[in-house]
Amino acid sequence: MLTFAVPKGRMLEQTTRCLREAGWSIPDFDPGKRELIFYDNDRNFKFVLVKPYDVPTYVEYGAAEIGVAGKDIIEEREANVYELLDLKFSRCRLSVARPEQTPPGAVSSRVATEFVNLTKKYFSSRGENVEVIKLHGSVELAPLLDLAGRIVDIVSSGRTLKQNNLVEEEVILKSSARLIVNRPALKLHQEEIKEKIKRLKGVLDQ
Amino acid sequence: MENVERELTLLPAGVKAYLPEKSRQKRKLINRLFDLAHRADFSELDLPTIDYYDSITRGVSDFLAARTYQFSDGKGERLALRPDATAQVAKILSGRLKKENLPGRYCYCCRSFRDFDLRRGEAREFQQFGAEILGRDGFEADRDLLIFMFEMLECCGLEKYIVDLGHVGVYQGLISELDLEPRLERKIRKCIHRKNQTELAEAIASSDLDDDRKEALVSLPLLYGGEEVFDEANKIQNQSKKTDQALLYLEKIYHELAQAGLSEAISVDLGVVRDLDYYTGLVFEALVPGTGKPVVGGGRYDELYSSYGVVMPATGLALEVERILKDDD
Repeated sequence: MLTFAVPKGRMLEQTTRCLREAGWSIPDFDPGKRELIFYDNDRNFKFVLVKPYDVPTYVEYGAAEIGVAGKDIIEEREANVYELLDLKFSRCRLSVARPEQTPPGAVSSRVATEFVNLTKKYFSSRGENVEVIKLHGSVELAPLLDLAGRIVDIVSSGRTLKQNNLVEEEVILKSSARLIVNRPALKLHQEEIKEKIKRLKGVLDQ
Repeated sequence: MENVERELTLLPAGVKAYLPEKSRQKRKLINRLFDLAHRADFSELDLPTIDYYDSITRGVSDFLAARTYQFSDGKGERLALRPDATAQVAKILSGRLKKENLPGRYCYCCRSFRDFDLRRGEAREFQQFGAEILGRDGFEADRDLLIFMFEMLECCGLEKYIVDLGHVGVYQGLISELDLEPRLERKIRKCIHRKNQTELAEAIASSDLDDDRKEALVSLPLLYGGEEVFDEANKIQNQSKKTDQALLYLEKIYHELAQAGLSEAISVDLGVVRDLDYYTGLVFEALVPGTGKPVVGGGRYDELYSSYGVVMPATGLALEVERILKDDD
Protein backbone atom coordinates (compact mmCIF):
# COMPACT_ATOMS: atom_id res chain seq x y z
CA MET A 1 0.00 0.00 0.00
CA LEU A 2 1.26 3.46 -0.91
CA THR A 3 0.89 6.50 1.31
CA PHE A 4 -0.36 9.81 -0.06
CA ALA A 5 0.26 13.01 1.89
CA VAL A 6 -2.71 15.35 1.43
CA PRO A 7 -2.49 18.99 2.52
CA LYS A 8 -5.03 20.06 5.13
CA GLY A 9 -6.79 23.38 4.89
CA ARG A 10 -7.30 25.49 1.79
CA MET A 11 -5.87 23.00 -0.70
CA LEU A 12 -7.78 19.99 0.61
CA GLU A 13 -10.96 20.38 -1.40
CA GLN A 14 -9.27 20.94 -4.74
CA THR A 15 -6.81 18.12 -4.12
CA THR A 16 -9.68 15.73 -3.47
CA ARG A 17 -11.57 16.89 -6.54
CA CYS A 18 -8.51 16.61 -8.77
CA LEU A 19 -7.68 13.10 -7.59
CA ARG A 20 -11.28 11.96 -7.98
CA GLU A 21 -11.43 13.24 -11.53
CA ALA A 22 -8.39 11.11 -12.28
CA GLY A 23 -10.26 8.03 -11.09
CA TRP A 24 -9.01 7.69 -7.55
CA SER A 25 -11.70 6.44 -5.19
CA ILE A 26 -11.02 8.99 -2.49
CA PRO A 27 -12.90 8.71 0.80
CA ASP A 28 -14.61 11.77 2.27
CA PHE A 29 -12.11 13.53 4.45
CA ASP A 30 -13.96 15.02 7.32
CA PRO A 31 -11.78 17.75 8.75
CA GLY A 32 -14.34 18.19 11.55
CA LYS A 33 -13.36 14.81 12.92
CA ARG A 34 -9.92 14.36 14.33
CA GLU A 35 -9.06 11.45 12.06
CA LEU A 36 -5.89 11.93 10.02
CA ILE A 37 -5.62 8.65 8.14
CA PHE A 38 -8.05 7.43 5.46
CA TYR A 39 -8.07 4.58 2.93
CA ASP A 40 -9.41 4.39 -0.59
CA ASN A 41 -12.09 1.81 -1.33
CA ASP A 42 -9.64 -0.66 -2.87
CA ARG A 43 -7.22 -0.08 -0.01
CA ASN A 44 -4.39 0.49 -2.49
CA PHE A 45 -3.67 3.87 -0.99
CA LYS A 46 -3.51 5.30 2.48
CA PHE A 47 -4.18 9.03 2.68
CA VAL A 48 -2.74 11.07 5.51
CA LEU A 49 -3.83 14.62 6.21
CA VAL A 50 -0.85 16.78 7.11
CA LYS A 51 -0.08 20.49 7.31
CA PRO A 52 0.71 21.86 3.83
CA TYR A 53 4.17 22.94 4.95
CA ASP A 54 4.99 19.37 6.01
CA VAL A 55 3.99 17.56 2.82
CA PRO A 56 7.43 17.85 1.16
CA THR A 57 9.08 16.58 4.35
CA TYR A 58 6.91 13.45 4.54
CA VAL A 59 7.59 12.74 0.88
CA GLU A 60 11.32 13.49 0.91
CA TYR A 61 11.93 11.14 3.84
CA GLY A 62 9.75 8.43 2.31
CA ALA A 63 7.13 8.45 5.08
CA ALA A 64 4.69 9.09 2.22
CA GLU A 65 5.39 8.04 -1.37
CA ILE A 66 3.28 10.75 -3.00
CA GLY A 67 1.88 14.11 -1.97
CA VAL A 68 0.42 17.40 -3.11
CA ALA A 69 2.36 20.53 -2.17
CA GLY A 70 2.58 24.15 -3.23
CA LYS A 71 5.59 25.09 -5.35
CA ASP A 72 6.33 27.89 -2.86
CA ILE A 73 6.68 25.38 -0.04
CA ILE A 74 8.70 22.89 -2.10
CA GLU A 75 11.18 25.66 -2.92
CA GLU A 76 11.24 27.07 0.59
CA ARG A 77 11.98 23.61 1.99
CA GLU A 78 14.43 22.83 -0.88
CA ALA A 79 12.87 19.38 -0.85
CA ASN A 80 14.71 16.79 -2.91
CA VAL A 81 11.67 15.14 -4.49
CA TYR A 82 10.35 14.52 -7.98
CA GLU A 83 7.95 17.24 -8.98
CA LEU A 84 6.01 15.39 -11.61
CA LEU A 85 2.90 17.41 -12.36
CA ASP A 86 1.66 20.95 -12.14
CA LEU A 87 -1.88 20.45 -10.86
CA LYS A 88 -2.67 24.06 -11.76
CA PHE A 89 -4.82 24.93 -8.76
CA SER A 90 -3.92 27.09 -5.75
CA ARG A 91 -2.21 29.47 -8.11
CA CYS A 92 -0.50 32.37 -6.40
CA ARG A 93 2.79 34.24 -6.35
CA LEU A 94 5.39 35.01 -3.75
CA SER A 95 6.05 38.74 -3.90
CA VAL A 96 7.90 41.57 -2.24
CA ALA A 97 5.56 44.32 -1.06
CA ARG A 98 6.03 47.68 0.61
CA PRO A 99 3.75 50.40 2.02
CA GLU A 100 2.18 52.58 -0.67
CA GLN A 101 3.44 55.82 0.78
CA THR A 102 7.12 54.80 1.01
CA PRO A 103 9.05 55.39 -2.18
CA PRO A 104 11.05 52.38 -3.43
CA GLY A 105 14.56 52.51 -2.04
CA ALA A 106 13.53 54.39 1.09
CA VAL A 107 12.36 51.36 3.04
CA SER A 108 14.15 49.90 6.03
CA SER A 109 16.30 46.83 5.62
CA ARG A 110 13.98 44.67 7.72
CA VAL A 111 11.83 42.21 5.77
CA ALA A 112 9.09 40.16 7.41
CA THR A 113 8.04 36.82 5.91
CA GLU A 114 6.97 33.23 6.45
CA PHE A 115 9.38 32.22 3.67
CA VAL A 116 12.75 32.87 5.27
CA ASN A 117 14.89 30.81 2.88
CA LEU A 118 13.41 32.14 -0.34
CA THR A 119 13.56 35.69 1.01
CA LYS A 120 17.21 35.42 1.99
CA LYS A 121 18.07 33.83 -1.36
CA TYR A 122 16.21 36.51 -3.31
CA PHE A 123 17.85 39.46 -1.58
CA SER A 124 21.33 37.95 -1.60
CA SER A 125 21.00 37.26 -5.34
CA ARG A 126 20.41 41.00 -5.70
CA GLY A 127 23.36 41.83 -3.48
CA GLU A 128 21.11 43.47 -0.93
CA ASN A 129 21.70 43.03 2.81
CA VAL A 130 18.46 42.67 4.70
CA GLU A 131 17.41 41.46 8.11
CA VAL A 132 14.79 38.75 7.66
CA ILE A 133 12.16 38.44 10.38
CA LYS A 134 10.23 35.18 10.50
CA LEU A 135 6.51 35.47 11.13
CA HIS A 136 3.89 32.74 11.15
CA GLY A 137 1.01 34.46 9.37
CA SER A 138 -0.63 37.89 8.98
CA VAL A 139 2.66 39.14 7.61
CA GLU A 140 0.93 42.22 6.16
CA LEU A 141 0.70 43.62 9.69
CA ALA A 142 4.47 44.02 9.98
CA PRO A 143 4.82 47.27 7.98
CA LEU A 144 1.78 48.81 9.69
CA LEU A 145 3.44 48.36 13.07
CA ASP A 146 6.91 49.30 11.81
CA LEU A 147 8.23 45.83 12.49
CA ALA A 148 9.55 45.70 8.93
CA GLY A 149 9.79 48.02 5.97
CA ARG A 150 8.87 45.36 3.47
CA ILE A 151 7.27 41.94 3.43
CA VAL A 152 7.62 38.86 1.27
CA ASP A 153 4.29 37.09 1.14
CA ILE A 154 1.88 35.01 -0.89
CA VAL A 155 -0.35 37.07 -3.17
CA SER A 156 -3.29 35.62 -5.05
CA SER A 157 -5.89 38.31 -5.78
CA GLY A 158 -3.91 41.18 -4.26
CA ARG A 159 -6.84 42.20 -2.11
CA THR A 160 -5.07 41.73 1.22
CA LEU A 161 -2.22 43.92 0.11
CA LYS A 162 -4.59 46.62 -1.02
CA GLN A 163 -6.58 46.56 2.21
CA ASN A 164 -3.36 47.17 4.10
CA ASN A 165 -2.10 49.90 1.74
CA LEU A 166 0.73 47.77 0.42
CA VAL A 167 1.97 47.65 -3.18
CA GLU A 168 3.52 44.66 -4.90
CA GLU A 169 7.10 45.49 -5.78
CA GLU A 170 8.34 42.35 -7.46
CA VAL A 171 7.35 38.71 -8.00
CA ILE A 172 9.91 36.24 -6.64
CA LEU A 173 8.16 33.02 -7.60
CA LYS A 174 5.00 31.81 -9.27
CA SER A 175 3.38 28.98 -7.44
CA SER A 176 0.68 26.35 -7.88
CA ALA A 177 -0.07 22.90 -6.47
CA ARG A 178 2.32 20.16 -7.58
CA LEU A 179 2.23 16.39 -7.42
CA ILE A 180 5.43 15.31 -5.73
CA VAL A 181 6.90 11.82 -5.44
CA ASN A 182 9.59 10.35 -3.22
CA ARG A 183 12.67 9.62 -5.34
CA PRO A 184 13.18 5.92 -4.55
CA ALA A 185 9.41 5.28 -4.55
CA LEU A 186 9.03 6.38 -8.17
CA LYS A 187 11.37 3.57 -9.18
CA LEU A 188 10.23 1.02 -6.61
CA HIS A 189 6.52 1.34 -7.41
CA GLN A 190 6.77 2.19 -11.06
CA GLU A 191 3.60 0.62 -12.34
CA GLU A 192 1.23 1.96 -9.69
CA ILE A 193 2.61 5.46 -9.84
CA LYS A 194 3.09 5.70 -13.60
CA GLU A 195 -0.49 4.68 -14.22
CA LYS A 196 -1.87 7.26 -11.78
CA ILE A 197 0.27 10.01 -13.22
CA LYS A 198 -0.86 9.21 -16.73
CA ARG A 199 -4.50 9.53 -15.73
CA LEU A 200 -3.91 12.73 -13.80
CA LYS A 201 -2.04 14.16 -16.75
CA GLY A 202 -4.93 13.25 -19.00
CA VAL A 203 -7.33 15.18 -16.78
CA LEU A 204 -5.03 18.19 -16.59
CA ASP A 205 -4.46 18.38 -20.33
CA GLN A 206 -8.21 18.52 -21.05
CA MET B 1 33.32 31.99 21.46
CA GLU B 2 30.00 31.85 23.22
CA ASN B 3 30.05 29.83 26.37
CA VAL B 4 27.17 27.44 25.82
CA GLU B 5 26.04 25.22 28.59
CA ARG B 6 25.47 21.83 27.11
CA GLU B 7 24.50 18.44 28.44
CA LEU B 8 27.69 16.45 28.88
CA THR B 9 26.30 13.40 27.08
CA LEU B 10 25.38 15.29 23.92
CA LEU B 11 27.12 14.56 20.58
CA PRO B 12 27.40 17.10 17.76
CA ALA B 13 24.65 16.87 15.14
CA GLY B 14 25.41 14.57 12.22
CA VAL B 15 27.53 12.03 14.11
CA LYS B 16 26.43 8.86 15.81
CA ALA B 17 27.52 6.48 18.53
CA TYR B 18 26.53 2.83 18.34
CA LEU B 19 25.85 0.94 21.56
CA PRO B 20 26.79 -2.75 21.86
CA GLU B 21 23.80 -4.32 20.13
CA LYS B 22 23.90 -2.00 17.09
CA SER B 23 27.70 -2.13 17.01
CA ARG B 24 27.56 -5.89 16.84
CA GLN B 25 25.11 -5.75 13.93
CA LYS B 26 27.33 -3.28 12.15
CA ARG B 27 30.46 -5.33 12.75
CA LYS B 28 28.74 -8.47 11.46
CA LEU B 29 27.56 -6.68 8.35
CA ILE B 30 31.03 -5.30 7.61
CA ASN B 31 32.60 -8.72 8.18
CA ARG B 32 30.13 -10.33 5.79
CA LEU B 33 30.87 -7.68 3.17
CA PHE B 34 34.62 -8.18 3.51
CA ASP B 35 34.20 -11.97 3.20
CA LEU B 36 32.15 -11.43 0.07
CA ALA B 37 34.64 -8.94 -1.39
CA HIS B 38 37.62 -11.18 -0.66
CA ARG B 39 35.91 -14.11 -2.34
CA ALA B 40 35.33 -11.86 -5.35
CA ASP B 41 39.05 -11.11 -5.39
CA PHE B 42 38.95 -7.52 -4.12
CA SER B 43 42.03 -6.64 -2.03
CA GLU B 44 41.55 -4.54 1.06
CA LEU B 45 42.90 -1.01 1.44
CA ASP B 46 43.25 0.69 4.81
CA LEU B 47 42.99 4.43 4.27
CA PRO B 48 44.15 7.28 6.52
CA THR B 49 41.53 9.63 7.93
CA ILE B 50 43.76 12.70 7.65
CA ASP B 51 45.23 13.84 4.37
CA TYR B 52 46.57 17.00 2.75
CA TYR B 53 43.75 19.33 1.86
CA ASP B 54 45.16 20.44 -1.48
CA SER B 55 45.78 17.02 -2.92
CA ILE B 56 42.70 15.23 -1.65
CA THR B 57 40.30 17.93 -2.84
CA ARG B 58 41.86 17.94 -6.30
CA GLY B 59 39.73 14.91 -7.19
CA VAL B 60 36.40 16.19 -5.86
CA SER B 61 33.90 18.80 -7.00
CA ASP B 62 34.08 22.39 -5.76
CA PHE B 63 30.86 21.71 -3.88
CA LEU B 64 32.50 18.94 -1.89
CA ALA B 65 35.81 20.77 -1.47
CA ALA B 66 33.87 23.61 0.17
CA ARG B 67 32.39 21.11 2.63
CA THR B 68 35.64 19.44 3.55
CA TYR B 69 36.81 19.83 7.16
CA GLN B 70 40.22 21.44 7.19
CA PHE B 71 42.70 22.38 9.86
CA SER B 72 46.39 23.11 10.30
CA ASP B 73 49.03 21.09 12.06
CA GLY B 74 51.72 22.68 14.25
CA LYS B 75 53.81 23.56 11.20
CA GLY B 76 50.97 25.26 9.41
CA GLU B 77 50.37 22.44 6.94
CA ARG B 78 46.82 22.51 5.66
CA LEU B 79 45.19 19.18 6.46
CA ALA B 80 41.77 17.71 5.81
CA LEU B 81 39.50 14.99 7.11
CA ARG B 82 38.87 12.66 4.17
CA PRO B 83 35.74 13.92 2.39
CA ASP B 84 35.60 11.10 -0.15
CA ALA B 85 37.21 7.67 -0.24
CA THR B 86 37.25 7.20 -4.03
CA ALA B 87 39.24 10.40 -4.51
CA GLN B 88 41.67 9.33 -1.81
CA VAL B 89 42.13 5.90 -3.35
CA ALA B 90 42.90 7.62 -6.66
CA LYS B 91 45.36 9.96 -4.99
CA ILE B 92 47.17 7.17 -3.17
CA LEU B 93 47.19 4.56 -5.92
CA SER B 94 47.91 6.84 -8.88
CA GLY B 95 51.61 6.93 -8.05
CA ARG B 96 51.88 3.35 -6.91
CA LEU B 97 50.02 1.16 -9.41
CA LYS B 98 52.31 -0.82 -11.67
CA LYS B 99 51.24 -2.16 -15.03
CA GLU B 100 51.61 -5.76 -13.92
CA ASN B 101 49.12 -5.16 -11.10
CA LEU B 102 46.39 -4.02 -13.45
CA PRO B 103 43.53 -4.45 -13.64
CA GLY B 104 43.29 -3.95 -9.90
CA ARG B 105 40.35 -4.76 -7.67
CA TYR B 106 40.26 -2.99 -4.32
CA CYS B 107 37.85 -2.68 -1.44
CA TYR B 108 37.79 -0.62 1.72
CA CYS B 109 35.56 0.19 4.63
CA CYS B 110 36.11 3.62 6.08
CA ARG B 111 34.48 6.78 7.37
CA SER B 112 34.39 10.03 5.45
CA PHE B 113 33.53 13.48 6.74
CA ARG B 114 31.54 16.28 5.19
CA ASP B 115 30.32 19.54 6.65
CA PHE B 116 26.80 19.03 5.35
CA ASP B 117 23.63 20.98 5.75
CA LEU B 118 22.26 19.33 8.85
CA ARG B 119 18.63 20.27 8.37
CA ARG B 120 18.16 17.21 6.23
CA GLY B 121 19.53 14.69 8.65
CA GLU B 122 22.67 14.32 6.56
CA ALA B 123 25.56 12.67 8.37
CA ARG B 124 28.77 14.60 8.92
CA GLU B 125 30.59 11.34 9.55
CA PHE B 126 29.53 8.30 7.56
CA GLN B 127 30.90 4.85 6.96
CA GLN B 128 31.06 3.34 3.51
CA PHE B 129 32.02 -0.03 2.15
CA GLY B 130 33.51 0.54 -1.27
CA ALA B 131 34.77 -1.55 -4.16
CA GLU B 132 36.64 -0.37 -7.23
CA ILE B 133 37.93 -1.92 -10.43
CA LEU B 134 40.88 -0.02 -11.87
CA GLY B 135 42.55 -0.19 -15.23
CA ARG B 136 39.73 -1.76 -17.20
CA ASP B 137 37.48 0.36 -19.32
CA GLY B 138 34.08 -0.39 -20.66
CA PHE B 139 31.50 -3.02 -20.42
CA GLU B 140 33.03 -6.00 -18.68
CA ALA B 141 34.30 -4.13 -15.65
CA ASP B 142 30.99 -2.28 -15.25
CA ARG B 143 29.06 -5.52 -15.55
CA ASP B 144 31.30 -7.31 -13.03
CA LEU B 145 30.93 -4.44 -10.60
CA LEU B 146 27.14 -4.40 -10.95
CA ILE B 147 26.92 -8.14 -10.42
CA PHE B 148 29.07 -7.71 -7.34
CA MET B 149 26.71 -4.99 -6.11
CA PHE B 150 23.74 -7.35 -6.33
CA GLU B 151 25.71 -9.83 -4.23
CA MET B 152 26.36 -7.06 -1.70
CA LEU B 153 22.67 -6.17 -1.56
CA GLU B 154 21.74 -9.81 -0.98
CA CYS B 155 24.46 -10.04 1.64
CA CYS B 156 22.82 -7.11 3.47
CA GLY B 157 19.56 -9.06 3.68
CA LEU B 158 17.47 -6.33 2.09
CA GLU B 159 13.94 -7.49 1.33
CA LYS B 160 13.16 -5.06 -1.43
CA TYR B 161 15.44 -2.95 -3.52
CA ILE B 162 15.82 -1.67 -7.04
CA VAL B 163 18.94 -0.61 -8.90
CA ASP B 164 18.43 2.46 -11.04
CA LEU B 165 20.77 2.74 -14.03
CA GLY B 166 21.70 5.89 -15.87
CA HIS B 167 24.50 7.32 -18.02
CA VAL B 168 25.85 10.84 -17.71
CA GLY B 169 26.53 10.89 -21.46
CA VAL B 170 22.83 10.91 -22.34
CA TYR B 171 22.26 14.44 -21.07
CA GLN B 172 25.79 15.69 -21.74
CA GLY B 173 25.52 14.72 -25.38
CA LEU B 174 22.30 16.66 -25.80
CA ILE B 175 23.68 19.77 -24.18
CA SER B 176 27.41 19.83 -24.89
CA GLU B 177 27.77 21.61 -28.23
CA LEU B 178 24.96 24.04 -27.55
CA ASP B 179 26.93 26.73 -25.75
CA LEU B 180 23.99 27.51 -23.46
CA GLU B 181 24.02 30.35 -21.01
CA PRO B 182 25.13 28.78 -17.68
CA ARG B 183 22.04 30.00 -15.85
CA LEU B 184 19.73 28.37 -18.40
CA GLU B 185 21.74 25.17 -18.35
CA ARG B 186 21.47 25.02 -14.55
CA LYS B 187 17.73 25.54 -14.78
CA ILE B 188 17.38 22.77 -17.38
CA ARG B 189 19.42 20.42 -15.24
CA LYS B 190 17.37 21.20 -12.14
CA CYS B 191 14.09 20.58 -13.99
CA ILE B 192 15.33 17.27 -15.37
CA HIS B 193 16.62 16.23 -11.95
CA ARG B 194 13.20 16.93 -10.45
CA LYS B 195 11.32 15.48 -13.43
CA ASN B 196 9.52 18.78 -13.77
CA GLN B 197 8.46 18.64 -17.39
CA THR B 198 6.22 21.70 -17.30
CA GLU B 199 8.86 24.11 -16.09
CA LEU B 200 11.47 22.54 -18.32
CA ALA B 201 9.30 23.21 -21.37
CA GLU B 202 8.76 26.79 -20.21
CA ALA B 203 12.45 27.34 -19.58
CA ILE B 204 13.53 26.34 -23.08
CA ALA B 205 10.51 27.61 -25.00
CA SER B 206 12.13 30.96 -25.74
CA SER B 207 15.66 29.64 -26.28
CA ASP B 208 17.03 29.28 -29.79
CA LEU B 209 17.33 25.49 -29.59
CA ASP B 210 15.87 23.71 -32.60
CA ASP B 211 12.57 21.88 -32.13
CA ASP B 212 14.06 18.39 -32.15
CA ARG B 213 16.47 19.29 -29.40
CA LYS B 214 13.71 20.91 -27.36
CA GLU B 215 11.55 17.83 -27.72
CA ALA B 216 14.48 15.62 -26.73
CA LEU B 217 15.21 17.61 -23.59
CA VAL B 218 11.57 17.84 -22.55
CA SER B 219 11.12 14.10 -22.95
CA LEU B 220 14.13 13.22 -20.76
CA PRO B 221 12.41 13.46 -17.33
CA LEU B 222 9.83 10.84 -18.17
CA LEU B 223 12.13 8.41 -19.93
CA TYR B 224 12.43 6.07 -16.98
CA GLY B 225 11.16 2.59 -16.27
CA GLY B 226 11.93 -0.84 -17.64
CA GLU B 227 13.06 -2.13 -21.02
CA GLU B 228 10.36 -0.09 -22.82
CA VAL B 229 12.41 3.05 -22.16
CA PHE B 230 14.82 2.08 -24.93
CA ASP B 231 11.94 1.96 -27.43
CA GLU B 232 10.60 5.30 -26.23
CA ALA B 233 14.08 6.83 -26.51
CA ASN B 234 13.73 7.51 -30.24
CA LYS B 235 12.91 11.13 -29.40
CA ILE B 236 16.43 11.72 -28.17
CA GLN B 237 18.29 9.69 -30.77
CA ASN B 238 20.25 10.80 -33.84
CA GLN B 239 21.06 14.20 -32.39
CA SER B 240 24.35 13.60 -30.69
CA LYS B 241 26.85 10.83 -31.10
CA LYS B 242 27.61 10.91 -27.40
CA THR B 243 23.95 10.47 -26.45
CA ASP B 244 23.48 7.62 -28.94
CA GLN B 245 26.55 5.84 -27.64
CA ALA B 246 25.43 6.27 -24.05
CA LEU B 247 22.02 4.83 -24.93
CA LEU B 248 23.53 1.82 -26.66
CA TYR B 249 25.79 1.23 -23.71
CA LEU B 250 22.95 1.41 -21.19
CA GLU B 251 20.85 -0.95 -23.26
CA LYS B 252 23.68 -3.45 -23.41
CA ILE B 253 24.16 -3.32 -19.64
CA TYR B 254 20.41 -3.58 -19.10
CA HIS B 255 20.12 -6.68 -21.26
CA GLU B 256 23.11 -8.30 -19.66
CA LEU B 257 21.56 -7.86 -16.22
CA ALA B 258 18.14 -8.95 -17.43
CA GLN B 259 19.69 -12.08 -18.85
CA ALA B 260 21.25 -12.76 -15.46
CA GLY B 261 17.67 -12.88 -14.13
CA LEU B 262 17.75 -9.43 -12.56
CA SER B 263 15.11 -7.64 -14.64
CA GLU B 264 12.78 -7.31 -11.63
CA ALA B 265 15.48 -5.55 -9.66
CA ILE B 266 16.63 -2.98 -12.22
CA SER B 267 15.21 0.13 -13.77
CA VAL B 268 16.66 2.69 -16.09
CA ASP B 269 16.41 6.47 -16.01
CA LEU B 270 17.65 8.55 -18.94
CA GLY B 271 16.99 11.72 -16.98
CA VAL B 272 19.93 11.26 -14.66
CA VAL B 273 21.94 14.45 -14.39
CA ARG B 274 24.78 14.85 -11.99
CA ASP B 275 27.06 17.75 -11.46
CA LEU B 276 28.50 17.18 -8.03
CA ASP B 277 30.76 14.31 -8.81
CA TYR B 278 33.38 12.77 -11.02
CA TYR B 279 31.31 10.29 -12.98
CA THR B 280 31.91 10.06 -16.72
CA GLY B 281 29.78 7.15 -17.90
CA LEU B 282 27.45 4.59 -16.39
CA VAL B 283 25.98 5.64 -13.02
CA PHE B 284 23.74 3.65 -10.72
CA GLU B 285 22.02 3.79 -7.36
CA ALA B 286 20.43 1.11 -5.21
CA LEU B 287 17.16 2.26 -3.70
CA VAL B 288 15.13 0.79 -0.85
CA PRO B 289 11.63 1.71 0.38
CA GLY B 290 11.00 4.15 3.18
CA THR B 291 13.95 6.43 2.63
CA GLY B 292 14.88 9.36 0.46
CA LYS B 293 18.48 8.35 -0.07
CA PRO B 294 20.19 5.55 -1.98
CA VAL B 295 21.96 2.79 -0.05
CA VAL B 296 24.57 2.24 -2.76
CA GLY B 297 25.87 4.67 -5.35
CA GLY B 298 28.46 4.23 -8.01
CA GLY B 299 29.53 4.43 -11.59
CA ARG B 300 32.41 4.94 -13.96
CA TYR B 301 34.93 7.73 -13.43
CA ASP B 302 37.54 7.58 -16.15
CA GLU B 303 38.86 11.10 -15.59
CA LEU B 304 39.43 11.03 -11.84
CA TYR B 305 42.93 9.60 -11.99
CA SER B 306 44.00 12.26 -14.46
CA SER B 307 43.59 14.77 -11.60
CA TYR B 308 46.56 12.89 -10.16
CA GLY B 309 48.50 12.68 -13.41
CA VAL B 310 47.67 9.14 -14.45
CA VAL B 311 45.50 7.77 -17.23
CA MET B 312 43.36 5.13 -15.60
CA PRO B 313 39.87 3.97 -16.48
CA ALA B 314 38.03 3.14 -13.28
CA THR B 315 34.65 2.07 -12.03
CA GLY B 316 33.47 1.77 -8.45
CA LEU B 317 30.71 1.84 -5.88
CA ALA B 318 30.16 2.61 -2.23
CA LEU B 319 27.58 1.10 0.09
CA GLU B 320 26.31 3.30 2.93
CA VAL B 321 26.76 1.04 5.94
CA GLU B 322 24.68 3.16 8.30
CA ARG B 323 21.77 3.44 5.90
CA ILE B 324 21.61 -0.35 5.75
CA LEU B 325 21.37 -0.58 9.54
CA LYS B 326 17.93 0.96 9.81
CA ASP B 327 17.92 3.60 12.44
CA ASP B 328 14.84 2.87 14.48
CA ASP B 329 16.16 3.69 17.89
